[in-house]
Amino acid sequence: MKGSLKMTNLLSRIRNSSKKTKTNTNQHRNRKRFKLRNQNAISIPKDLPSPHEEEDEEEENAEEGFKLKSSAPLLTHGVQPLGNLYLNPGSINSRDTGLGNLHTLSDELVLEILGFLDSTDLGVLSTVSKSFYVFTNHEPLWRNLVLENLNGGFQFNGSWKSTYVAASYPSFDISSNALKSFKVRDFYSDYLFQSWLCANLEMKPEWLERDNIVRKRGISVEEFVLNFEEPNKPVLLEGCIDNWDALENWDRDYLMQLSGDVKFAVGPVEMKLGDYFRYSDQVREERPLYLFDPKFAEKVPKLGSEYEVPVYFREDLFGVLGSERPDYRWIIIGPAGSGSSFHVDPNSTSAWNAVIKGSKKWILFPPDVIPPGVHPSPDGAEVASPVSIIEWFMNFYGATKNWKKKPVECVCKAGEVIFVPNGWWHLVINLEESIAITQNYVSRRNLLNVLDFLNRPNASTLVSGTRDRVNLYDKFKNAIEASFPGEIDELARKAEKKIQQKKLSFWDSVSDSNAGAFKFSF
Amino acid sequence: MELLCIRQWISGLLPTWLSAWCIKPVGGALVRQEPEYILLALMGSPLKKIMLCSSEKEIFSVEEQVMVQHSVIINNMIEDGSYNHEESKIPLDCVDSKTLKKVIDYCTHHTHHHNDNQEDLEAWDAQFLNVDSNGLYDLLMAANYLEIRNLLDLIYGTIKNMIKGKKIDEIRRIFNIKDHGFTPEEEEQNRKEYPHFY
Repeated sequence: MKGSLKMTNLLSRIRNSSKKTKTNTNQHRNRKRFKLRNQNAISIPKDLPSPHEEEDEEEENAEEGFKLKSSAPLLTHGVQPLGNLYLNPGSINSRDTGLGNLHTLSDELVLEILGFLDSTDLGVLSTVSKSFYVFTNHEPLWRNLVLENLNGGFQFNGSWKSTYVAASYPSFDISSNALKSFKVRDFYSDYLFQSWLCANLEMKPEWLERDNIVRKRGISVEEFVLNFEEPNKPVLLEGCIDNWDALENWDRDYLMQLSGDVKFAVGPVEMKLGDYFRYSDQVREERPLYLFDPKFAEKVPKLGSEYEVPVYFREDLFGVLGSERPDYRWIIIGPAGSGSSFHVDPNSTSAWNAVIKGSKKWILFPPDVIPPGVHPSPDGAEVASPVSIIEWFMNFYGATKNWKKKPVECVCKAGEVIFVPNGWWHLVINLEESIAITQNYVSRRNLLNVLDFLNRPNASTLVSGTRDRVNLYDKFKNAIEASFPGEIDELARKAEKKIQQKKLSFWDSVSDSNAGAFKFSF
Repeated sequence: MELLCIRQWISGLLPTWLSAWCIKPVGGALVRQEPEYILLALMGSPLKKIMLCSSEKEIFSVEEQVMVQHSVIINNMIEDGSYNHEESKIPLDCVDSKTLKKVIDYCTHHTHHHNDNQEDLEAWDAQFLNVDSNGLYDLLMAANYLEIRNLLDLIYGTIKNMIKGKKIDEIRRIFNIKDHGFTPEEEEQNRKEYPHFY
């Protein structure tokens, strides 16, 4: 175990520096195409970290060491990080010899090429050389093949490759093949090692320690609006969903019984609950698929009836649009390690998120503070950030300790509701299998922001959750005017007054301070 | 857009035989032909140029329009103003001169000939990729670095065809893989399980 810990030390350093040079020299290069509401999820072991047994070893490498899941298949093929190659002078990288002329290409480019091949071609390549064997067994390749060809109707079989082969070649005996696994010697690759590492890492306890969010129980709506919604501050509300039937009833069996063969949205596909749970029980990958369905109440009306919007969030002005309103409520189910990497909620809305089962770690940054490691494009349509959530924790969480503007953090447990004010960056990771409900909404407090957002010239790319992006602004404005005549103007007047007041006080302070200081001298 | 106005102005000035030769409307659009650019140059209308610097410190001057249309990276740099036309050159330390010249050729041809018919373009592309194998991968890395989508897709397609449907020995030959890394026992296992691949 110690040996592998040392390897991860080296790797995190290498990863860190390469990321730094990237941002220093050419930040234009970092444009991976991640949409704002990307449900990136990572894979970490299902169990919560239990560091007690390994604490002695951990102490030594206190700052840098990471704990691997004890049952992780230690380096299935024997891939090592590049750092080890540099420590072994005279060693050859069998990755290069096995790739032939392709060895000059980066790992990402090789995998891009393999992404264009079908399963037969991948099979052939896996026997061409040991190096290709390792590359062609990269799970994400097979995940894409499954999702593209089998959609959501797959029976997960331990690995994506097994799943694909079992479904596409039912007569093929996979049991013997799956167990056979060639080991490689002297194969060094940062990308493949990092991929494996992020899939098998545990959350470090110190990443879960900080819990500095304001917690309130039983406050009035007025207090909530005054102290949190108006000033746009997050808060964790306790006890406000105690009356939900969902809290009492919802568990795996109940949900499966209710939904039967109904398919729910899981990433790019739709799956039956039973199939999804079969996958989430077995999976171990960097970004597990996350069940995130905006039509759950329409698909299974009973689910919609077993919860109600907490009293603080009942004013929801998008409701004036009726059935034409953008997506606004989701059921969220996912295994430990799944979650969302840093994003800002769409359409400038605020949100609340209630955990029914399990627990989630939240990290929030205010609108004017971009989280470390995150690079939004100037128009905000794209966000470049680390590939997996665990990678963000590994490389960037430590930086937040020394920042003046520390993030708001918490662990939200079953029965608790977190309020995410509009514009706030947030990252969420499930610490165990979790079931939650979240809704986005517009109240009078953020109505003007939302109208502004919808009215932007590039609304067609930024506005989300509806097919009618371009006209949403007009529709919404007219609907508000119809239901609440004069409201928009009233709010605009109030906002203008506030700005004027702020300006006045600024000039007051300036003239006061100058009164004594400014002296003529000839 | 400026070029369109200039072209219309020029076509108005030119004698009919010349204008018929070098600028012709095709489906409502004006097709750019080489002589037009010569004329523009003669008339002193400067097409904005940018400087690209290869890893061997060789400087290439290219039309801004050409690179902006193809390379996302260069487009972004120009758009957000980090490139100063008077003084700067864009350093491309990952791309050597030979490869950079090829990339510029590709972008220039596709900008000037984007209205050609599909077959002609494909024939040109096939000829363009007729390089030695290492040159192909250098091109791939350059296209990836500069984010030139159509060149990337072209090269990916070519490499995919080098692999598709081939047998193991053929692939080893094509990619010059001398040491496959399998032990004799492992090779034997492979041959038994996948005889149709060999």
